[in-house]
Amino acid sequence: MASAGSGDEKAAAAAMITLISSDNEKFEVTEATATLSQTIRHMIEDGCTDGGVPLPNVTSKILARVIEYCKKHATAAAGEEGSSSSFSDAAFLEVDRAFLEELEEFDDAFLEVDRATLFDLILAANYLDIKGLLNLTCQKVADSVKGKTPEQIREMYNIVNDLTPEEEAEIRRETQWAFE
Amino acid sequence: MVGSDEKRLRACLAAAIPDDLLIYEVLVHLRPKSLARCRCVSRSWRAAIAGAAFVRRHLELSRARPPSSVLAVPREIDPDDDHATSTEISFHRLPLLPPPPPQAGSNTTTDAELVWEKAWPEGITRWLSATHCDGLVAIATATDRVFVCNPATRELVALPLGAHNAELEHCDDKDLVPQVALGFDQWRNRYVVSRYFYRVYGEMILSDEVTCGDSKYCRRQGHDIGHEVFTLGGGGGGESWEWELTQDPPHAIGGQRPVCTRRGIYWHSDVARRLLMRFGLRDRTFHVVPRPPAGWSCDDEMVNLDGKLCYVHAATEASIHVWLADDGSLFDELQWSLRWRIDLHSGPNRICYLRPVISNGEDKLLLYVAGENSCDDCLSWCTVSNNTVEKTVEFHNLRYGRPDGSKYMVQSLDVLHYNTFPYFESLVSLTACNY
Repeated sequence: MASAGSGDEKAAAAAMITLISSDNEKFEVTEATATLSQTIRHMIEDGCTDGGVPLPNVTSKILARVIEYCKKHATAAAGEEGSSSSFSDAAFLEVDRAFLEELEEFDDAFLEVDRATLFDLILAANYLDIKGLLNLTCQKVADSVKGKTPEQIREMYNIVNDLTPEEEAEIRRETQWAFE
Repeated sequence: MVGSDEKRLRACLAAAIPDDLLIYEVLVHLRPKSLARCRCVSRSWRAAIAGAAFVRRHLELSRARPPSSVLAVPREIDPDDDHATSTEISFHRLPLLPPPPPQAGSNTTTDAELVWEKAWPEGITRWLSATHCDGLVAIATATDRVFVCNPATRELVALPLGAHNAELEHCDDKDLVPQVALGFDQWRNRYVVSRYFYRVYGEMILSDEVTCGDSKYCRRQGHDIGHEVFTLGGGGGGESWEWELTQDPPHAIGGQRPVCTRRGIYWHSDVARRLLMRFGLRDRTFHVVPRPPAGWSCDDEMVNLDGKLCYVHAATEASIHVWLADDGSLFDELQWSLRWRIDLHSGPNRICYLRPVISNGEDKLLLYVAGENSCDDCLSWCTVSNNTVEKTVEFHNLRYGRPDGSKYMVQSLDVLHYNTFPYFESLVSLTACNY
């Protein structure tokens, strides 16, 4: 297990990708980390990552955070693959569980950011097509909408109410239970 | 002019997240109740939430989430009258929490969340059988009436009466609930309810050959059985709001629960024949399909575990053999494989019946474990590799919710909890095809 692991690491270490943020900062990441992004995965497959991948939509501040997420979750994905062949081994299940808990804690801490950063992370996750990160950040925003009234939601997202009073009254009548 | 500055600032923040992301990535994570309120926000939100793209994406996310709860439809029966009705029906979400630490004692209560309590003044029989598919629940009653419901969006409809089932007045089982099945027909993009009915129930002859345990069963002669389907959402072949007659089943259908997977609906034949029949959803015809090479018991069940067809052979009261088959391919014969053997004989309490409810990855199964009395019933996580169980919900320690927010516990033997099944909330409509 140990020898095989170090071999993989060497192979992964050899394949480094340079990501370039909108403010021209360069980030060196392993291919395993970078390919959590489907967008970058396709670029690698098309062989157009030489000289770095410019990401004009993502600032260095946000890219650093995105990379932090990908690094953590890339190790998680590698761990899952390694253990799937021996799932019946109780010791492995224990390790898996501990790791999943650690991952959850990481995700919770990762989301402790202000609203603007959270929105920027959503935009970056969407642009880079990182499903896990997009789900995680969108769920966080959804949680903040959960108990809100339509008025509060409109205010939060600066939405103009273009429903006529009659239309709004009708929706409220149909779904009165949701307002109780 | 602080107000307008604030507004401008807010506008900046709001502009940071485009509408399509906000709707199709963020709002899709919300529960139907929150979404009902969101419909009031603006015209574009109202239109988007009602659209098929949104409903489908919402469904996909709900399906992919690990199950965190099951749905229970508890019913209080009248021991003196099997045809008694009640003027309400209620749906409760039972959380699947990890078991409490042992030192907390065994008397910890679990709180169920009332999803919906619906009054139905015409009455719904107290004995009923409920099944789930994509947030919809089909309810078979002890009459010809079948109900379909989406508890999360608060829709309940009584389907129009289909053909009369002559079994209802002939059967010895006074608590008979003729089963129905509910599934998704991917070829017509519609949800369908399926039911059988006897035109002629036939003659029953007590037979020594047909036994289950110590009981002797009847062989049926001269019966005439039919089958019909109801297409929800209209269109797709049947524009009208009525049952459509199909090909007749090749054999009599028994009282055991049917199950629907991708390819079709599987029905048990009656006791005498011990066959499995599939009503194919694509071609709408019946075929006899192979049973798993297991023994047979009248307590055998079928369930849908993670989309897989699952035959549960009740080897004894407290042990089951769980056979799985992948019915994803349209042309292959069913290949059964024995997936789990579970034996809970060693526990302190007598177990009368076991049924898998949810499979959680490789080694964990949520079991419905029925004791001698209904209040002994519980839901337990079973770790198959070492044959151990941990109770997660004990029905006598469960607090159901009332519409006014108060809670009540059920210790009565007359309340049945066995209609407890996997469930997730969806926006799927009963009357319009919004998917």
